[in-house]
Amino acid sequence: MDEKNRILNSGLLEQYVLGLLSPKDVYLIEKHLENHPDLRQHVDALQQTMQRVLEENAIAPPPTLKDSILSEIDGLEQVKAIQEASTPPTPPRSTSWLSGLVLSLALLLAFGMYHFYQANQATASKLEALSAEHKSLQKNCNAAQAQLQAQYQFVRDPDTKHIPLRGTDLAPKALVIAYMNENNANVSIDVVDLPAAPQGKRYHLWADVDGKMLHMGDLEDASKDLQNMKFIARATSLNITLEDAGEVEEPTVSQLYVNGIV
Amino acid sequence: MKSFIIHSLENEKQIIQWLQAQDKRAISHLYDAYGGALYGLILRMVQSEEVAQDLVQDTFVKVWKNGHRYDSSKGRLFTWIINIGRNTAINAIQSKAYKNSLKNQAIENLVHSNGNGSVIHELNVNKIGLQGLVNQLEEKYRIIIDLLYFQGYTQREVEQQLGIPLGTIKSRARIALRELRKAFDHNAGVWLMIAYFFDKIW
Repeated sequence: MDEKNRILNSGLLEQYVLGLLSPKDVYLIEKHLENHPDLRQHVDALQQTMQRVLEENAIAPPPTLKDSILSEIDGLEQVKAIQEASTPPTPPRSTSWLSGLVLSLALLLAFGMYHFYQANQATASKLEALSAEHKSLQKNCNAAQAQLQAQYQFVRDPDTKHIPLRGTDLAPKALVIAYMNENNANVSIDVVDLPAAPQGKRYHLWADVDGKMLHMGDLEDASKDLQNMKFIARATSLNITLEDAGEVEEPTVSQLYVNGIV
Repeated sequence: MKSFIIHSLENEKQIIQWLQAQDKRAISHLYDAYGGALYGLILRMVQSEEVAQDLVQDTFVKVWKNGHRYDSSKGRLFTWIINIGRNTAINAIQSKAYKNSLKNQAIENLVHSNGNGSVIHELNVNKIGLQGLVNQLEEKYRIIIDLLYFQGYTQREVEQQLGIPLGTIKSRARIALRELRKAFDHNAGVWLMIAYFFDKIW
């Protein structure tokens, strides 16, 4: 509830609809919209309003533009079609010996052409496959890069607090760093040093709000990436306990491994 | 009733199917429905008919190529298309060729000193005026929508040129949009009332 109201009051949704957010913030906001359907509804209402504003200010382009667009698309479709495989040529038939010779030569030629055609097709389709693979790799690379960039910006943001969660007697050397930003209601944790959770158990993160422990999420085993957690406002401390796998209502205080003051 | 509010696509489901199959019938319908709105936006951003037409073309080709990426659970089709168009135009504006263009001069024309050291700005900031709901906004909010959305200036540029602090700009953008939504709802209500009475009379 708090996270949702914080976002509603932050003005970020209006900035999002007006196209004023950085790619990092667009990424973060869209995550929030996935998690809160009523925020998505609010955004949709604003987008509907902008649609009206844009339609009221429509200007008809010259009639030639539509043809130009459809022609360009036709051209692109044809390029695709040419790259697709078509049927190879078939050799001719004849009866006399001269025709037989011609036939043999024609057949030789035909098979030669066929062979080269096939080789060419194979190369062309290999090229296309490589190109597709390259595009897909590039897409993955871009996506990974965008995500890293977003995380990096988040950590560098002056409004993002760095909260070290230090080990208790159970694990004195343990360390987890929490990054919390109240402006965009985001919190992520970086597991620097935490003993591996035994089989059937998981670590859980809790926020202490007025003496009550509120659940922020559970930790993925052996993840070296920043892990996104649920933001809870007015937390005075953050705490990680080791629990049995599955749903957990209350933290097991004796299993407190790390904590830190906000 | 919907036609008084915004242009709703007939057979939108069919169009989305065509879009995802890269069937250019989608583009033909989408151009008819949304081409004008897109052109109106981009023309105001780049201030050149030729450039705007090229950018509208680029946009629809991108829409055709990337149709399979549109996810209706993430937002409206109109918004998706407009965002592609707006980003295409912003990239064009920020390219080197545009650095010393008309666009930069336009914002300078806005701002001139009144001799006492304070700054005032023009009322009609856009060479192509705006119509409809936006004109129901107070001037200080309308200018924000005009400059930030329809002309593609960044908030920092507006801050620097008009001397309005960034925080004020952001909060005005937010209020502008909320006021627009109120006007939108009010308008829809008025039409409903008119339709209701019209119905009663006939």
